[in-house]
Amino acid sequence: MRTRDQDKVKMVKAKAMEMAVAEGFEGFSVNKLAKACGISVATLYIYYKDKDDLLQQIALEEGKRMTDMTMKGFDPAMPFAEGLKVQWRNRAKYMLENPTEMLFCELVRSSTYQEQYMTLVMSSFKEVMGKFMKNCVQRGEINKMPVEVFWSVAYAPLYAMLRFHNEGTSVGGRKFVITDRYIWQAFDLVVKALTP
Amino acid sequence: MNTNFDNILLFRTNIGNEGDMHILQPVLDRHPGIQKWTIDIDDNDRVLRVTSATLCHSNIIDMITLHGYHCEELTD
Repeated sequence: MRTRDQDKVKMVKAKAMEMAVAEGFEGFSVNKLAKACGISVATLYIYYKDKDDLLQQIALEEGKRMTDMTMKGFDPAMPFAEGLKVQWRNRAKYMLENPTEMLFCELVRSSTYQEQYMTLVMSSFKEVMGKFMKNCVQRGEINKMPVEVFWSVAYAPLYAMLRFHNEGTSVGGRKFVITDRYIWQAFDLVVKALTP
Repeated sequence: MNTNFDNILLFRTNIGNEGDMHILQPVLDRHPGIQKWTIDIDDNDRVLRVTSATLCHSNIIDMITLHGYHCEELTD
């Protein structure tokens, strides 16, 4: 009986994401991946039926991991600033600890693999975040607004800084390394902007 | 999803394009011993992957080579 070696599965996943980020989905092949992992092509084909299946499965697993990490310790009943803080902390942690995975997810979002991925990611966020927003509006902590407006103000500043950090440079090519101080300074401004 | 990995048979082939697929599709689709099959035509090895509880490698190799294609067990 063939069994899955969990360490090997992990390595395959990591290498696949690394390869996709470096070469794009066009240049990706199961053969190349097997070589990079030092395992046989046959081993990969036992678990995945082809390149599309492999990339799709890895994208869904990573999407699930990302949403689980983002939701950790978060409760839609939390007061606005507290709930948003948990979201910021979790999102920053995921992106800082997983730069390759983050780039892989971005690649997936703009590819033919995006449909199932987005359905998965959206279904886990939509309900919980919708509830959170509704609670905050009901308590008068934030004004009612389209979810897109909320999202853009609530998270875009964090994502912009994390992007600067991952690229190592910010506006005008200035060297940039993110710090807790920057994160929470921006957070305080966001809370101020969203509080009536 | 409960896949019995022992029932997966893998082959290196030269099945290269949609035309080849048209020829082989009815053969593989209709075979009562084959539960599922796919070919990765994006890959160098054009890996044919067959799920079957009853067939062995040589059955498939005979079936594919009979139609003029190369087919060998993928072992490495």
